[in-house]
Amino acid sequence: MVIAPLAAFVVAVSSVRTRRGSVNTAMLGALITLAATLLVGWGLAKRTTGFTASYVYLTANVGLNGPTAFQNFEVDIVLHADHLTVVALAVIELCLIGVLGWHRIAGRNEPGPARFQALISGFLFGCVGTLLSTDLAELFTFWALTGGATYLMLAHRWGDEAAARSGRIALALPFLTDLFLLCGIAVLYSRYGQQNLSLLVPALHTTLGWTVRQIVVASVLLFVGVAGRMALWPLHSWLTSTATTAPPAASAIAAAAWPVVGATVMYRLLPIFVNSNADTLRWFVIACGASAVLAGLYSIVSMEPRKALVLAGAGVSAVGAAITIHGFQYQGFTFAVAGLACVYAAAPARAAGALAASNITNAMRTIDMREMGDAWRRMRSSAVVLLGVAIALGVSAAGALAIGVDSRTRFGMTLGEAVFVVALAAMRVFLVTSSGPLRRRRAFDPDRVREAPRASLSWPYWLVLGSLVLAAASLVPGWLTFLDNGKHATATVATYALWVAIALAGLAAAALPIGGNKDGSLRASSWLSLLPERLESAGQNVLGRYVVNPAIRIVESTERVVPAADAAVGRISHVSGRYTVAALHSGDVGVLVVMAVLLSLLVALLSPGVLR
Amino acid sequence: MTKYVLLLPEALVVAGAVLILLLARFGPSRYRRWRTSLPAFAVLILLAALAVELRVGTDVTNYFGGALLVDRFGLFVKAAVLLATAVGIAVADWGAEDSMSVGLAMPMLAAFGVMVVASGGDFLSVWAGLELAGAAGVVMLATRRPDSGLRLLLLGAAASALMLIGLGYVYATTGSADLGGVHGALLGVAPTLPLAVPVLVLLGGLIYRAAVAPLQLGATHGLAAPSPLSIGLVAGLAAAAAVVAAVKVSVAVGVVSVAFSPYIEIVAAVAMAGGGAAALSVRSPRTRIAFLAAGQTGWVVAGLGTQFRGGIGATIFLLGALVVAATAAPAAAGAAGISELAVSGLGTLRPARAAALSLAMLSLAGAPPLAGFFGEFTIGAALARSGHIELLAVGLFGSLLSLVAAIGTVRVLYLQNPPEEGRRGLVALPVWTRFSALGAIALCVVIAGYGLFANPIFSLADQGAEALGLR
Amino acid sequence: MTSGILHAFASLALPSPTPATVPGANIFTSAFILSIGIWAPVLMAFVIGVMPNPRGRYDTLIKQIAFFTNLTVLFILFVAYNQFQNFLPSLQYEENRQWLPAIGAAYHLGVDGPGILMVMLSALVGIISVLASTGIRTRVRSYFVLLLLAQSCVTGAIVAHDLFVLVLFWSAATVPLALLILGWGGPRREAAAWRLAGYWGAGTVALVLAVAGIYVASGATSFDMDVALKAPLGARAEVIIGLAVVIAAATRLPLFPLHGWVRDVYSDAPIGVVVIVASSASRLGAYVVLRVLVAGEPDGAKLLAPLIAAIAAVTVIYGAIAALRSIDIRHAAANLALIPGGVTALGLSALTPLSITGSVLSLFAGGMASALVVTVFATLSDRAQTRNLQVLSGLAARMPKLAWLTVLAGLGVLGVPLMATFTANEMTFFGAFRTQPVGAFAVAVGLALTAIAVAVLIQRVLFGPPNPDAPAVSDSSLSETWFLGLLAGALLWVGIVPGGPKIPGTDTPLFDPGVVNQMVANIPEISSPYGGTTTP
Repeated sequence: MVIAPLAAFVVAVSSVRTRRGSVNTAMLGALITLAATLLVGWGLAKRTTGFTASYVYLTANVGLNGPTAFQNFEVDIVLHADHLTVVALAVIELCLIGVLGWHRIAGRNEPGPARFQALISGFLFGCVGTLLSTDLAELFTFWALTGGATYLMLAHRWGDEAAARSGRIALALPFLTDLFLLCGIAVLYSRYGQQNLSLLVPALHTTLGWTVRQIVVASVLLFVGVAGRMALWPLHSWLTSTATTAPPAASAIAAAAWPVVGATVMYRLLPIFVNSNADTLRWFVIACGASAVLAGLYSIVSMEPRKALVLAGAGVSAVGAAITIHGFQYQGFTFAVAGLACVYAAAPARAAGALAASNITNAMRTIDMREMGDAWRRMRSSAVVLLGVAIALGVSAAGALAIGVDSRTRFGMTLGEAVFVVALAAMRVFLVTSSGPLRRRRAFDPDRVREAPRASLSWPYWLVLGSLVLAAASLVPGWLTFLDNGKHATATVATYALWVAIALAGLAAAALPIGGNKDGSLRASSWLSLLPERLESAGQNVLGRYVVNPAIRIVESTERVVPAADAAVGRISHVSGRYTVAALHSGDVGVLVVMAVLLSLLVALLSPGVLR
Repeated sequence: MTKYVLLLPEALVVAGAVLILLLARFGPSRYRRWRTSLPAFAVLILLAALAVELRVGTDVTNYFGGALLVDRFGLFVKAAVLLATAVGIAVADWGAEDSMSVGLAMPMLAAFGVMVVASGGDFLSVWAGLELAGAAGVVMLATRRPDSGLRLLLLGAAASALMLIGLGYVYATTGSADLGGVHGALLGVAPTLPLAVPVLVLLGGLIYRAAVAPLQLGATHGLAAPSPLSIGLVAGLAAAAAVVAAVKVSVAVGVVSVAFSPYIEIVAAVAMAGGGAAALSVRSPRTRIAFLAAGQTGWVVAGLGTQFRGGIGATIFLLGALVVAATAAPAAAGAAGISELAVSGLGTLRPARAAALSLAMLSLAGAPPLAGFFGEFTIGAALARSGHIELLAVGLFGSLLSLVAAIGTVRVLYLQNPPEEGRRGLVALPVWTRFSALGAIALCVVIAGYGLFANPIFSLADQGAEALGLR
Repeated sequence: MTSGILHAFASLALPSPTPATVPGANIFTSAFILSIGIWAPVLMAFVIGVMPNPRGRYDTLIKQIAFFTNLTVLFILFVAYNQFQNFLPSLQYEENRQWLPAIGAAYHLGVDGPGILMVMLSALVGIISVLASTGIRTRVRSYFVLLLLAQSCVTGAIVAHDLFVLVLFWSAATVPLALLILGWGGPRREAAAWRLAGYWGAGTVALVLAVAGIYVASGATSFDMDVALKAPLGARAEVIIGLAVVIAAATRLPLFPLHGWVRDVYSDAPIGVVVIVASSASRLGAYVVLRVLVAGEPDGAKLLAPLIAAIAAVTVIYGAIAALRSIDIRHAAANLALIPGGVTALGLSALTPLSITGSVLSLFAGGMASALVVTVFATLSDRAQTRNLQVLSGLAARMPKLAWLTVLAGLGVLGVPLMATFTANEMTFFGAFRTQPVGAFAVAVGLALTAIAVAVLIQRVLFGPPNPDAPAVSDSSLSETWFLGLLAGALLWVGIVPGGPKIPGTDTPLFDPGVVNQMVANIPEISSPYGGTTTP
């Protein structure tokens, strides 16, 4: 599983030059990895414990005294595959294969194909490594590799200045949150001298001198680190800002795969969160709930289809994360894994959404939904994909909510609201692009609008189909049992129906305004969208004025001052030397005068009667 | 009678110098033919004297009722001075000297003067030796630059005046003109002002002579500058004479060191920092050498402040390195030393000479791993031991400036292409002779080997300090 | 004398009396191996210096002599590294001869774990610098003489176990390097050389004062590290001495605000010299902090730790922002080269066993990364015939080899996985969070800024839109590819197999016992004063 994508990466980097060859290499790598994954899954089908393979990467005896845990530093490559890992990997690989299939045809004009496909293989390698890791140092290593590959994929269109600029955001923000993850791991290590999760968790409350505060700090750092890569609102901007500039395949992969990786890693880290305290967990849950609602609302006012879909997907991820964390809040609750099932279900849909939306924006030569429409007639299949995406995103959370959340609690209300808003937002994209007239613009003739190449159209369908299947599976307790080998309560049909109904209500609710007055509703949402944009720009201004610019000014003035200062020191040495020489030229007379004074002083002092 | 064999080195040097002068004045006409081999003859005499010194100088005795002492201190200083003079003469560029006879005889007489100071047992012999060395310097300078000679004479006389007054008062206070006697008389005496002032004046004269005369000299440059060897004589031998005298006197009156150590520190600091800064600010290699020598003399003077055996041992140790480099470096530069342009590219035209000049200058700047570095480091250790960290800091700063200056000249020697003959102007390249090349190589070996054989050399210097009665 | 030399060479092949505990270690050793590492280059420099070379007829021969000298030294020192007994905390390949017994100075050499690591760095850098100097055409003889001298000075300072010898080699390195820059540097060579001499000289002054302080405070009997650094000095003395050591280190490594020489030297020195300065010579700064302050004066180290951490953080953030704002690509590279030093300093300030280990590894990794980033950008600017970032754009297609090396250099400075710097940074951070969480976080933020700077540079220079008005571009020559590839290869090798490759299925090292395994010898002893302070 690990070697196949790595081999594909190496081959693509070292020897493949043609576009077709590179696509085939990446596809082959992904297929082999999928086959290996399924093989492992088959092997695991009858087992409850996972497979583990372990190698020592480095070990160093660094200390003689102090706590024994700190006397030796060891990084192990521990690869642990259980049901959850296998499913997560399978989902990611399916998304990757679908996207690659689409990109093979639709992305044939992308620059640097060999580099791009190599990066996709590298990305897959990182994902596999991350999901198989139980050693935190190893996990972060693969996590960072995946992050690097993500950045390079999102910023792939280097030649385009806009792409490069938004690529920088895709580098800076996640890199910062990755550093939070690193710091969280480092804090844990610095307290417990352990990086292996299976050894660390039991030690959390048994190590001498442990405090809740340390675990809280570590938990917050780890949570932010994971949330950043899951692109939960408000840490989503690295995905939204690149949605329009990156190759569609890249943003589809990032939007689909990272939530799966992030959610799975969070699930593995949750035992640490649990050991902090109840308040922390509650706040995490609240944060995720709020993030879900706000992401949905943000999506509703967004005017770019791909951004809107990314935000809707972020809402689903937040719902899944909230349910997962909520599942750990109380002993005995076993539905945490349902949150993951929700995230897994949404992943292929998000990929498909990104691809279909980019088909439409390319064909309609605009990124503004106000200028879109009539896709149902002109670009049927893409429109259908968008519809499927909306439905999948809407219902993907239903199963998890049904068994995990009581609809009568405030928490239930919040998540219900989130599901409603997300469904609405996703549906809005479909309706806006598909219905209404497609108006003529300057240098744009609506009759020229064509569907994307036929060979690329089937892949988004398959992705949506996969998403719907996973969503359906998440309603089945057996699926959850397979995921975490635990027993799971089943909800009543009514509960399922309730949550599905909320989703459907959201979908329907989108129809009302747009069906009624599309332009009016779009005007309204575009007017509303100004508010978050203003907030964003205000925030950026504050940051620029009080942090960035002063720092830059200080550095630049130092760059000027330091050379000036040492040059001045050099000059002073020279000048002092010149003064010495000059003083010597006219020194004799002075010396004689001094001697005369000395003599008179002597005579005066030593003449009888003065002293003695 | 065998006892007087110990005076053979001095006798050889004086005889050689006188013979050379007489030959020049009354020599037969055939003399001109073998005139060119006179330097080799002089070097031979000096090396013979050195050999005798090293062979028999290990004995300990005294002459003329203690007026002259033969001890390890004398042995070390004499060996160093003889070596320095020999190397200086060997490497000299006779095309740049005014008169070969004077250029050979005066350094030998100056060396004799230093030998007398080194083995002087009382004020009179110390003073006599000092004056002899100074006079040789004056003569040498005056052959080309009477004004410089006159100025040096004037300053030397002023310094001597100070010295004599000091000596007089010390004699009046202690009732003894004998260094040992003075030391004994002062033991247990509380330093009073009437005692402190003359000591101050006495050392003032000496140190002025040691540290300031070379600075004075550095201030005179231009085409009509004194001949290279004369600069080497004044900056090296004459200064060494004064330092040796200062060492002896300061040890003799060491018990009142509280009275003069601040003064010594100030002079040392001024010389170390001023020498380095001045060296940095001038371009002419010859002037730079003079300033570098002054800076290193400052280190030696700083060593005087440490009134214990190790410190004075280190002082003598560095003195050895200083006298060799300071005497030979200007000679190695030859006439070309007056301007950077003239020496540029010397590395390709006169490799041996350039190497000798570079090593000597770097050694004067205290660059590792050359003679000067070892001397300065040992003095630094002694300064630290005696708690003069601030003086050490000033010295290191001065050395840093000196090092930059020395690198500047080395760069000109090796990294710049020689100018065309037309642009070289009146300055001629040093004349190449097999003998001078050998001399240059010898100078390199001495300066580079000083550190390699630091242990035996330093232990001899240490014995010299012990011979002065230090514990 | 002769018999001594004969004995030296005879003893090369002597089997060691003690049985080897780790398979393959200490089978083959020598009593003079470190001296050979120091003095062989000096000897060959002398030979080159005196050999006749009429009108540059033997320039190629001179280059070959320098190359094979370094190759031999590398081989001999690799044997030392390979045969090093990492299970012994004691000093190895020790040589101890009296030099100036009157003041307690001895010719005392020896290496422990960190020492052998630095020796390998110096040896590798030696050969790389010669490869990087094959383009020298003028005054070849002087160039290689000075290069060999500089290299042996650095090696000497590394293996010195006597403060006198340390000062000697530490200060001696300045002269040849300054001359090299003066003689073969770029347009601003004057400023570069004098800044180097000035800053390094000031650092030498500080170091000598520190050494003098240690000497006096420890009883003024010996400069031997075993004696001088073992004596208890009292907190006040240790802080003052430590401060001087930190100043000395800050001028070399360099650390803010004593980094003034970096920009001119890295952008105007000849590439072969930059390799030495940016890697081994500058790492001496951190090495001396480790040797003298951390290993010698624990109280001073503890009291000065916050200061060093602050300097480290400022250095990293400053380097990143300055690199981001530079318009000259070589200035940008020079600023990027500050960053690994900051990480090393962070590890030394945190004073936990792991952070110290991390900073030791980052001596090697950071040295290589700094050298790589500076030299690769220097080569790139030479090949593109401009240093202006407004002109340089979209070169990846026209210089593929250099493009890959540039990417590796950026990632190396950044410390991404599979690079040696990643392992070093990881150890440093994990260790530093226990005692210097704020400093560690600040350095982490600095690394985030570095990532942006690297991304901007790579995007602009390599993958941006090609500039039609830019001068003609060519890819790196064979020798350039070789020396840059060696630097990158060393980074990758240590990053991928820090524990060294093993014979499959066994624990027997294949040929490289593993940098991490060798370097940790004696680190537990060095960190023992700090191990106790680590209760959570």
